[in-house]
Amino acid sequence: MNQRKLALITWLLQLYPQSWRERYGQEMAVILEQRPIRLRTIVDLCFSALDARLDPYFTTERMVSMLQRLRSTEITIFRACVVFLAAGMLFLKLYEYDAPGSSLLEVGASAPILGAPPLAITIGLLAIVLSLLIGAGPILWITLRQAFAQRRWDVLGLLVAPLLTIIAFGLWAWVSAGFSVSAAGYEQFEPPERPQSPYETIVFLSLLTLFALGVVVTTVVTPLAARRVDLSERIIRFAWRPAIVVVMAMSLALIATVCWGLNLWLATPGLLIVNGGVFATPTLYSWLALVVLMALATLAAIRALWRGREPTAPTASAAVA
Amino acid sequence: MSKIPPLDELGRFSDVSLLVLISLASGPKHGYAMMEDIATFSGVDLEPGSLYGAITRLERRGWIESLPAEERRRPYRLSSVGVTVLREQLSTLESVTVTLRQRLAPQG
Repeated sequence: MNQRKLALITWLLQLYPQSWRERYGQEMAVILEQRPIRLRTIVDLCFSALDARLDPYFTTERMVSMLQRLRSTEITIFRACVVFLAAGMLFLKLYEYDAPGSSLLEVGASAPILGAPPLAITIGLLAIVLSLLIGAGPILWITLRQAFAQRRWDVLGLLVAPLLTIIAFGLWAWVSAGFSVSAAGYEQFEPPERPQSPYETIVFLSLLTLFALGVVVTTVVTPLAARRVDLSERIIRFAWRPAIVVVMAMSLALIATVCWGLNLWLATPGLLIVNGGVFATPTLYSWLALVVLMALATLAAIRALWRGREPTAPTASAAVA
Repeated sequence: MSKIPPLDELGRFSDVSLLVLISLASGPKHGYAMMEDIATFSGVDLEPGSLYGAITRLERRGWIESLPAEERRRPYRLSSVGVTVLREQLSTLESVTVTLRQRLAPQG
């Protein structure tokens, strides 16, 4: 079969709705390959394709397929965004021991090129949170309402689990901070120059574990609840624009984080080598790890956004091949 | 027993649908084999668009069933409802044929 005929078959199959092609495309392609394509064949296919496009059966199926795709995309972006937020919070933790007048804050205040990226990161994170509230808020509300109305305890359980983890993290952070100040007699934000006691290490590790658990539970469990209820087309479509803003904000914050590290490296490389990072590791390692985590989350969100855009017809050559 | 909708409901595909049902009455066939068979027994040279317009509707009504695909071809067979529809059509056609014979007889 020559390339021109293959291209013609591909084009003719593109005339049909996607759901039709998924079901009958291969069979139709085999028939078209086996016989000459005449003018009347093309006219017949054009009318049949128009007929299929006007058929509510295929239109509805296409719509359902599109909404499922949108919902999956939004869930992937939600998951990527939670991971990104966690990475962003860990980044802000690099400033935790920066009492006023000390290293990172001081450098940021003295050189705008070092002060601007953290500001951009903070703005990016705030934009993500805000968009998340706008986009996911109505979905959460509908999910909760349906779960209560239909007595779906499984859905409620899925929604409560992340909340419990976050509360547990918050409570333990509050309690352990109180213990640290009263027992050790030092300020919470004192630079960690002296070695940590085993108690402090355990507290720190337990906090980190709860934090990671919160991230995992939120990313895994919350979308499961949203999948178990009937969400209207309006709600799913409404969340699409905030999802785009989330991805843009993630990209901005990622670029700002990369710029922050590079600027710091060029201006005051010494600050990247000191043990000011997570786990009291060099700041450079923490920065690199966070950049990788943020980049992966951003790439996953961009990929999901690209795949979830308005459905385009899959190449008919796939059906022909 | 629920009433089976008439073949006429298939609109412009009703004639092609009848040909497809008749073709499948001799056993399962995939699209290309149906076209060949229909051309043989009726002389109608079907185009793929019309054929699949009919197949889509017949399958949705449950009058034909698809079988597991063989490579890229998918055979179809008549369902029990399809057989009933075909029998009803046969009786209608017989009645039409009888009427036609009666009306043409005086002229012959």
